[in-house]
Amino acid sequence: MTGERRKPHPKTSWKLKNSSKSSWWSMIESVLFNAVRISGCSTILITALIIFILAVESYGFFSEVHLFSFLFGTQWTPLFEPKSFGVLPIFFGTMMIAVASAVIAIPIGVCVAVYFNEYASQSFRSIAKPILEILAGIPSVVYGYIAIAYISPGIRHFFPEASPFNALSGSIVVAVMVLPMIASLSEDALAALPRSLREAGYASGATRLEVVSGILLPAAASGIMASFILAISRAIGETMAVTLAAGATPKMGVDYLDSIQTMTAYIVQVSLGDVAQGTVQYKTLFAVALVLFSLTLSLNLVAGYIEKKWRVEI
Amino acid sequence: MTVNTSQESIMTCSSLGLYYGQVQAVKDVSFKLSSGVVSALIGPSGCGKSTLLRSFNRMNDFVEGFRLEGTIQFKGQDIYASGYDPVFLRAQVGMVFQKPNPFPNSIFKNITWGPKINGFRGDQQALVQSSLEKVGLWSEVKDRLHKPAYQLSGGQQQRLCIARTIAMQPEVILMDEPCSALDPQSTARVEELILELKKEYCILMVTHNMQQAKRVSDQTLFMYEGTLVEHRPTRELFDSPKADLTKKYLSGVFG
Repeated sequence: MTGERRKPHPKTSWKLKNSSKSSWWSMIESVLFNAVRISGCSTILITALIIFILAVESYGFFSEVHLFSFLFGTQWTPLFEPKSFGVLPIFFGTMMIAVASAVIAIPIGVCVAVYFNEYASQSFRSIAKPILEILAGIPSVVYGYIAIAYISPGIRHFFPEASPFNALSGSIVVAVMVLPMIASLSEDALAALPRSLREAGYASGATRLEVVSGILLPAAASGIMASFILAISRAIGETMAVTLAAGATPKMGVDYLDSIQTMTAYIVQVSLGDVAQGTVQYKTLFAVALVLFSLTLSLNLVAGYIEKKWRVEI
Repeated sequence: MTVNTSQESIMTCSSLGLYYGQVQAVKDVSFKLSSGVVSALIGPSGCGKSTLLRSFNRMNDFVEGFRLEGTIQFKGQDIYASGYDPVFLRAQVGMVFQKPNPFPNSIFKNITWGPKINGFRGDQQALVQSSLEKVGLWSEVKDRLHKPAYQLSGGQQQRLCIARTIAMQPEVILMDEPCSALDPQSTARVEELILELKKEYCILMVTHNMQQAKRVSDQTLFMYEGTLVEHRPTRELFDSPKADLTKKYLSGVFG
């Protein structure tokens, strides 16, 4: 069967004139071009502006508080006397949440990705994957509420000494929040591997588990690792759930049953409070935000680097 | 204990029907394969030859909706019987694919991975050397065994894949158009290799290239629309095809 012959258009010829595109049209062209260009540049501009504000306001902060005592001080009491501006307690609070939620979410996320990709039937996958993505769309304040209402009492059931607000419940709830990200990105990395690679594994007398662990996971390692780092970066930036679940008590140490405060939770606390603009307390917001920003930015850069550098040629 | 002579068949299929869902890809096919013989499966695209080939090491298990009627026996055992372990089968029935598909690993690990996960505890270095020597790749890669396999040329990669297959010491090697992605020179090398390997193994290869079937195979099976039209010694089949369809196919009336 041959394709349908194209019939010649009734008006097959026209005169090509230099002035056929009116000046009116070329004006619209240039307006549209500039609109698109401005939109494109605005993203860069906004980012630059935020960094600029953070830098300027932090500069004000560091002219009053020594950088060294900010970075390495172990007391964080900017809101009451005696004032102390050591960021380490809330930095540790953030890290506790990030590390514990990663420890919980990474193994589960990878297992979900492997299951979806290698074990689940097509029909199961087509139902389960959208559900997983819904999980990612639940507002974080809902997660925070669930942590207070259900997770924390659960923890206190097993550990009566646990505080009502504790780092563990914050970690668990953040783990649930980043799980879809890890599972979904890892699944994408696995799905991108060519079928021929799986076949090579099975044809060598390998079981499913051997193909997954010996061939597929190493081959997809760059994408999977990148998903971990993006998830950790997300956990560091997560605010609402940890503010609700983990409390507001900046503390050094790693007691997961105790109330802590993360950098993001501190920012919420000060932003909602009645701290006067221009005071040192107010300026701590920007210094802390700068630390947060540098942390997530460098993690995102590392993720990008790993994805490129570790990519296995296939 | 019987000695496996070259005349004894290793793989047998009888009244084989293969389905994808409701579509029947292979209809009532029966034949036997013996050690020391290269058999070529030829036929137009979509005639079911790849499906047939892949059912011999149960690679079709991964295709949803695949179904089989009749039996395939490997060394006297029904490989689709419940309880028969497909992993154990694939360790003995190797496969070489259309496109070279080395593991994203070093040349060395490409050879040793399969044997290791199947209980090989011997000298890995010796295994790698002997496998690569058999495919004529040793002298080319002996100085870069730990370099990624993807740095090899396409032809070298395909020979590595064959080396990986024979490192498992299989009894049967299935080849799915092993030369279709290679340049003429590499094709010639792989063909030479197949002739060399047939002394030790039973080889079943799918090919689109009738000249290739003529050059390397002892037996030729011609398939058309899922049925096995003719199965005879290669020379006889090419010189004096019996079936009308075979005649037409060989003379290029369709294909």
